[in-house]
Amino acid sequence: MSPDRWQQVKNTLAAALEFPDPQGRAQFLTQACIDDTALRREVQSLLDQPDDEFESAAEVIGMANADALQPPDTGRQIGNYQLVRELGRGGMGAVWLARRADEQFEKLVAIKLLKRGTDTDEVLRRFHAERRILARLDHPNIARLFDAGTADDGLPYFVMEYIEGVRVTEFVRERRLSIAERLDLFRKICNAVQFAHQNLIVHRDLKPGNILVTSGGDPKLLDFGIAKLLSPGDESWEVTMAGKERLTPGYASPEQVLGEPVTTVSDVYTLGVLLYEILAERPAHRFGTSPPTQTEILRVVAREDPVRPSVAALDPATGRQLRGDLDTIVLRAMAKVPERRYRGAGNLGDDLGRYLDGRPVRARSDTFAYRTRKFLGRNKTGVATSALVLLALLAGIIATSWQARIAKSERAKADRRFQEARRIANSLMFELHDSIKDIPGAMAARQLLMRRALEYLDGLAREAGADLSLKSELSIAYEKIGLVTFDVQQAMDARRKAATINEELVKVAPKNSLYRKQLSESYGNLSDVMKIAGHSSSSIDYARKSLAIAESLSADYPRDNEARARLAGCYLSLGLVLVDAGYFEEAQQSDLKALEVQKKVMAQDPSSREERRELGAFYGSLSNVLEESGNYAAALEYERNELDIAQEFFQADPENARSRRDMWAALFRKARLLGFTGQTDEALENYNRAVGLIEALAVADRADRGHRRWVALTHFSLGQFLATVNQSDRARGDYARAMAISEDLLAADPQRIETRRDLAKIYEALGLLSHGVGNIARVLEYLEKARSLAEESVAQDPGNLRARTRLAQIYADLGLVCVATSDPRAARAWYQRSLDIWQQMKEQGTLNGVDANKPEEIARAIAKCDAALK
Amino acid sequence: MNRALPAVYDELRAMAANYLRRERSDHTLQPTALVHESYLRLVNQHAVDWNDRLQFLSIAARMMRRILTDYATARGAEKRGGGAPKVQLDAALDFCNDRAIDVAAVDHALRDLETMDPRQAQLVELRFFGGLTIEETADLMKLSPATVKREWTTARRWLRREIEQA
Repeated sequence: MSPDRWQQVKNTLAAALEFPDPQGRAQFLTQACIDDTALRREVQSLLDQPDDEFESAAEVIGMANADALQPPDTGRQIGNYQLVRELGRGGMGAVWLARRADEQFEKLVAIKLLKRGTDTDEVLRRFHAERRILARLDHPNIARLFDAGTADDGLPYFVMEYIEGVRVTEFVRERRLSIAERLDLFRKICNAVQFAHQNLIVHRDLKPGNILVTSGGDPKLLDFGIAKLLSPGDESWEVTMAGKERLTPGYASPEQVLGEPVTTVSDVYTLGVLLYEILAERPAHRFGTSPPTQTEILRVVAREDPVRPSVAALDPATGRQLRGDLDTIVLRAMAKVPERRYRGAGNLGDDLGRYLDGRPVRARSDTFAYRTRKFLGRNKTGVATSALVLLALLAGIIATSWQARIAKSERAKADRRFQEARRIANSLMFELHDSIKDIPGAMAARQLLMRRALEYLDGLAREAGADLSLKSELSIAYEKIGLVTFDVQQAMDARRKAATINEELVKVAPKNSLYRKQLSESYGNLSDVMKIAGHSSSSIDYARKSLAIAESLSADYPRDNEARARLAGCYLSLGLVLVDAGYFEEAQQSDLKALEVQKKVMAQDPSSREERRELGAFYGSLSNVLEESGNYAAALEYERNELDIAQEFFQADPENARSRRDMWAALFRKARLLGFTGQTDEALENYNRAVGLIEALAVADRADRGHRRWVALTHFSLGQFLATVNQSDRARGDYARAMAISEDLLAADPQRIETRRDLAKIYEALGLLSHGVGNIARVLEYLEKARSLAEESVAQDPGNLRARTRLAQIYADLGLVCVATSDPRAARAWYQRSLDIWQQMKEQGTLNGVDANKPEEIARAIAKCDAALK
Repeated sequence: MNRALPAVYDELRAMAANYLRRERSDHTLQPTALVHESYLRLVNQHAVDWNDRLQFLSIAARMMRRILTDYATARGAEKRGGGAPKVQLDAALDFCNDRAIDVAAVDHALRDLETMDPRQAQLVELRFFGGLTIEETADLMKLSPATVKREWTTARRWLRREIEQA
């Protein structure tokens, strides 16, 4: 009907309704619709409608209730009870609320009456079975059976405790119970079921409708109507057969839907389903068809793994709480295979108790990672200072598992051992490592962990064969070792192994983006370790290879923001190795490109905190390369950005190791730049803060030599600054500290070329400082040491320009000292060596802008020496 | 206000279930009480600034319509399908029998009315699903009580006929 037409109909109808009697209405209609018989028919049909109780939806429903609730049985006398109203209906009959008629005080009970017309012998037998079962169950959380009998019409009934409560699922929702409160409630249910099991009674039909919770919060289990008696000699078989058609698909166990034997463990399964629903507020099973077909029930109940409760949870905050132990407990209870479940309802309840106490739950297989996480969780404060305890714990666990593995391998098949080792290695590598990596002081533990894991891995690699997924896992494992180990050779080996595996994988599956990604990462990691080991050329090569793959991946998946983020990271890494090797121009190009890509990443994902944090490193890197090129003003610009970001995260979480590290890096760079630009007071202030931060980090994690190197570099840099502002004594103190740490580091790890280069710098600086105070012997001593280290560095790492400029500089320093000691011949020789290096670099085109004048400068010094010699 | 809508829906659904179960012996619901009580609870729990109580009532009516219609539809599907596993909500309306007016049919007819006369349809929603009185409805819709009465009477007859014919 058109809106206009409806207005016409409506107005006519309203006018007609003004007449109280049908005759008046008919008269009116005839007049009003004289030209429009269709209108008249329309209005008349509306007038014919009864104007009755059509008042509100709720009242309509109320009416319906009235109909449903007034069957003839109301008020009927059953034994000593009078039926008040029906509480519900099931397959077997109806349950009534009844009042004891002959007592002074009113007693309310529930009476279960068999349905008329279905009182076959079979149902009667089942009914009698239920009566006996309930008589044996005297438990506060199980509805009591008071009485049983036969009504006047020959139908059996029985009298049960009347439970005024709501379904357990509704109760937890309506009361908005916390997870802990839910678990407490659920443990009571477990105990009640356990009690029934001890009496050899299986419920078989647990479901929310059978578990009511009183307003006082006590759960009550109802309806053992299809329970199976386990005790021999009972007619349990009939009960089982009869029960088969009555199962509730959403709560039945796999063995029930498969028609297999039902045991107490079947109830454990159903408890798992209930716990799932109580925690996640979503049913564990969702059927694709309604009603579910037999095949659908079989698929969902017997075969399909349920979604983890934490994932299914209606409320994401709840989901987070469920992740971990509670997921595991629920899924353990719901295991498809009965043998994998808790052995009894009591065990399930106990495990929930352990969870509530913060103790390790049994549902977890005893992975190292898990036990350690629990240990760390309970001992949060002690951990930072008690790495030893952690170590001891780890060593113990590892030893036990190692022995267990050996014991097993002797009897079990090779395949099983293999899987076991794989699982342990994975657990070590991924779970435990990740769980401790941000705890200050964890380095030693991480290294021990890695050494053990490496032993497993090498074994695995030998047996891996053509298993691609295992190989892929192996490569990640090797990478992790490369990441945490501080032994350069070990890191290099592990990373080469990882890269080799990934190269193989990419060869086999050239389009597999995961393998390509892993290979790119492998190259990146190799580049890193090569840099540390003093192989600048190959470090740069690997960084470029890594970048090339990242570029092609990002081009292939232009909407993949993570791929883009990795690309940005690759540009940044390339910039870092380039600047380290002294290629400032190229480094700056790469850093600029990195920043550009990173900004695109952030435009895609503007709210990501992690990307914002990363951005700090991009600014820092640019600032660094600009500083190296002598462009301090621009460097300061970028530095401000880095510091802003670092401060943001530091203020949010000042205890976080990474926040502190980033803060140190920003302050350190800032201090240097302020020093170079003559802002003395500010520089000193920033240096002091930087020193404080990095010293604290190094104390927290003595075994992390990376931190100690940074301590040394911070002191060195501070010393340089102090020397330029004529505070030689204080400078000497900082140099000495830098020297002591670096010498220590070199002794511990002679392979680290970067330590050699650091030391060369420090010795050189100490020498020059001594020169300033006129102690020539000391000057020569330091400069000799510096020279020898610098020469080694150049020999070992010819691709590193900075090593060469350092050496050229030291030669020039020696020349200067000889000038001061009036030995122009020796001076000339040193200058000549210096000039050779500068000239060579100039010819190669590798001379950086800041050093552009060096060849002429040295040539002038040589000319002076020549003049003196004449 | 929109942020609180899911909360309103959940709250009303839970309360509807509760009321229908608890009140069944009295054979009637107190729809206005239901909606008004939910209003108070929501204001307390969610710190929602319901500066306009009537605005809330119209939302509540819309929600009740959704709840009851979803429910009726689910039950209808269940009846057609035979022994399907029961949907979560069904405890509440287990006692609703086949002779009741089909709420889903009301919803359907109301959608037709919306195309013909949106104002009248909204008025029906407030009265039928929200349980608002003539006076409240008039107040909310800024109409005279006489107009509300007239619209309601005519709509009611039309709906009746549409449902019977369906």
